[in-house]
Amino acid sequence: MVNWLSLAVPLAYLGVLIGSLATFSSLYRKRKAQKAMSLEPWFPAHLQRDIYFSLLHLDPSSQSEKKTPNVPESVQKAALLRRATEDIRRVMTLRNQKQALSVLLQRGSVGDDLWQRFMRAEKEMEEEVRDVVSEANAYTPNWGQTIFQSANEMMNNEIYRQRIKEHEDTLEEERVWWEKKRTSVKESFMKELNEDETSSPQTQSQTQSPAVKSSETAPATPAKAAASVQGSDDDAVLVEADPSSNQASPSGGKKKKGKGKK
Amino acid sequence: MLPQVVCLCLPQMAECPPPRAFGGQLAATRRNDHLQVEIPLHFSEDSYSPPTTKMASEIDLYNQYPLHMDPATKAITLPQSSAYTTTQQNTVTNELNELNTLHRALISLDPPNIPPPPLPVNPKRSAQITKLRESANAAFRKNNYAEAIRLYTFAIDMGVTRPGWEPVTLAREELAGLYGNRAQAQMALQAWPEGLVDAKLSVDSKPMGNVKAWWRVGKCLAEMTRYEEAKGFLNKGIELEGQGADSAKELIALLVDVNAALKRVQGA
Repeated sequence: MVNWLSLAVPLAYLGVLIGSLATFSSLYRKRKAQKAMSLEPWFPAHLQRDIYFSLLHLDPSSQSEKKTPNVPESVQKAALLRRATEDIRRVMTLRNQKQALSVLLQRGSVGDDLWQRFMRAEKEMEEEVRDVVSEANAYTPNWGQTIFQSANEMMNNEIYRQRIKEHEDTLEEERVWWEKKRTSVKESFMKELNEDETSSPQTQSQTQSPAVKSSETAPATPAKAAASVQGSDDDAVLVEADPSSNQASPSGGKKKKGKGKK
Repeated sequence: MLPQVVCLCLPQMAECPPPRAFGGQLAATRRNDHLQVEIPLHFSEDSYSPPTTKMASEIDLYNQYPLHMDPATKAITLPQSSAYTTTQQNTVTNELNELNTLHRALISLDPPNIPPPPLPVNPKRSAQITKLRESANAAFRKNNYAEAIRLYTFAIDMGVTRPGWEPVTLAREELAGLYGNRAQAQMALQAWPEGLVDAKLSVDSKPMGNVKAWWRVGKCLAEMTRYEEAKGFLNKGIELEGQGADSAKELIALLVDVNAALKRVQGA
């Protein structure tokens, strides 16, 4: 006969122990999940993806009274391509950041939260890429194999075009600057002229130089063309010359020419 | 406020895992006090058939934009609405412009309307650019610099508007040459700022093996009496070209001149 009374104490002990452990574990897990959910996402909203899905779900009936046709497939394809481009950018960012972040994590410079956010972003991107590939294959067989190649080139081209544009935007600034500079140099030069009559031979040489240049450039081929620019050296040096170096500049220009032709 | 939409891609609602936040959507959820969950009415396969082969049956969260499509031109726009701030409106509109441009490019392609793989390249455009370059070179040789610049500009425009999916290395190579040549023509007209920008574009497109363009950058800057900058660019060019290389000789010669000029200016 088992003595229930004497067993009651250890049983109660076990019950309390297991119960408290279970409660603790479930609470802990819930909190952890909540914390993970409340972590800020790594990337901002995926605009291209939003647009793609918005297009897919563009409801013809909900638009206006007049019947609007369904979104044509070509538009959807374009949207998918845009989405793939943005995906490539994000995958690249993640790949670049991973190394640095893991080093920082090992040293304890960044918290665990950041790493978790990163891992989640990575997993999401993986799924996103898979999703894009399968959608591409659904539009046209085998497109999935090349869509990311195309998207990669598109991203790089976009970056390159951006740079071109940046450079071209500086043109106006440069032009204004040079105009100003040139007029100021010219003014000082004219002043110099008025002050000093001896500078007249130099103005002659200035008028001569265009003729010299044209005779030089006559046989110019692209390879030789570098020499033709040399011809313009003299007058430019004259224009830029300041009072002190005025006398020396013509010879300096000639020296330059000789070296350039070597 | 952005309406949140749950997109059900397959009618397997029962097996759907709990909502997974994607990208920024979670943040939006938290920011919105009362979020609007719309379930699209047509998740039977009526309106779009292609993605039904999708394997994953998960709920994807995304922000629904009330887009509008012009029935004639198929251009997608976002109608003005008070729900978006101006910046939001602008970003979406910019993106939609990109999308419409891309769409026009896709439509001009052959039937499957997908971009071909980056290689091989469609030779038509390259041939046209080469032709333009040839005639521009001819004009340059005849000292008709203005005409040469005009033709180079045409060629450059064609190069810049190459469709995005063609390899970027090709575009860089081609444009580096064209910009370099146009810089040369600009310099012949003594248009230094224009020449400088073109030469800079050329070296930016192709830093290696582009001595002439480096030289032109230095030359233009020196002509505009910006010796310090010229020195910087020439040093960089020499570094990329290799100190002892034959091709770096001209750069070194110009650098010597620039240094002399610099000394003269500082001495004055």
